[in-house]
Amino acid sequence: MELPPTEAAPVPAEAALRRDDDAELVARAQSGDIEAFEALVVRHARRVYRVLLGITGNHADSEDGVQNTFLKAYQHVREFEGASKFSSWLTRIAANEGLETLRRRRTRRRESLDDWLAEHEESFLPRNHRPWQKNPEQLVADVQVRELVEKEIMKLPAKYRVAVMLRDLEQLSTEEAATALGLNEATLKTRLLRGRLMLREALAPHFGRRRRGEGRDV
Amino acid sequence: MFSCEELLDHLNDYLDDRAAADVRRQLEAHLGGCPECVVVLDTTSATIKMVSGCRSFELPAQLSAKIMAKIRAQGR
Repeated sequence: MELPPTEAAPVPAEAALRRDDDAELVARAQSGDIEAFEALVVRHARRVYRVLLGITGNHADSEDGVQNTFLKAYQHVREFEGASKFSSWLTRIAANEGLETLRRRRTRRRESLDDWLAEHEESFLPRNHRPWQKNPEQLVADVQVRELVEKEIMKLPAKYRVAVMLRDLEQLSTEEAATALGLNEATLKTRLLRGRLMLREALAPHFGRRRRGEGRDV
Repeated sequence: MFSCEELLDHLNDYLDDRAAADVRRQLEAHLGGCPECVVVLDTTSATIKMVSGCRSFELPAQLSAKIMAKIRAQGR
């Protein structure tokens, strides 16, 4: 099994000093307390699901991936020595699981993994320059808006989708997101910018101020 | 002062409040004379707020329970 190189990789001093809120539960899980591991599942399953959805873009694959991720984490929890946060270690297992799913798909959708591995990122220039009619605080409370945002995020290519989901939805730092995905920070930042701009472009027709004679917005 | 493309290069750092003072100054100087980039900045910021505020992609019901059922079955 491909496990994250948590213990071998150099750990930034800041990260090593950061307190891990999971430390007590992890210690109990390592001594065989299954209830403690269950508490870790409840605490982290949503993030793991979002990582997998970000990479695979498929709900069924992501549900399977979440189960595999936690099974692997349970089998190997005693090997976790705390050099990184437990959540980072777990996120890395999830990312590896998602990439493995892309590899398995290669015969039918080869472009998915090849696109992920490509080092060159094409530039993306904004085309829509019309101001939006409402502020985001007004928009996020609307169920239709949430559905629209989800739909448009899912249309993004995997490498941009997962960058947006980890940074802007899960609120990971650039360093955490890059480490989880096995990317350097510069690549993560490039993919995040392109993902944000592509999503903005997709949402713009729905939220841009109307010109006279145009239909309703969301 | 930055061009529109240079502004894009630094947009993430600016939006994430991680731009160096000199970069911030040049970027804001460009924004003062480029209404199109002001729109790009405002609407990209709005996009980020919408993604972070929408609570999208919640965990499917019962998935945590399924995970634990598998783990318990394996442990037997």
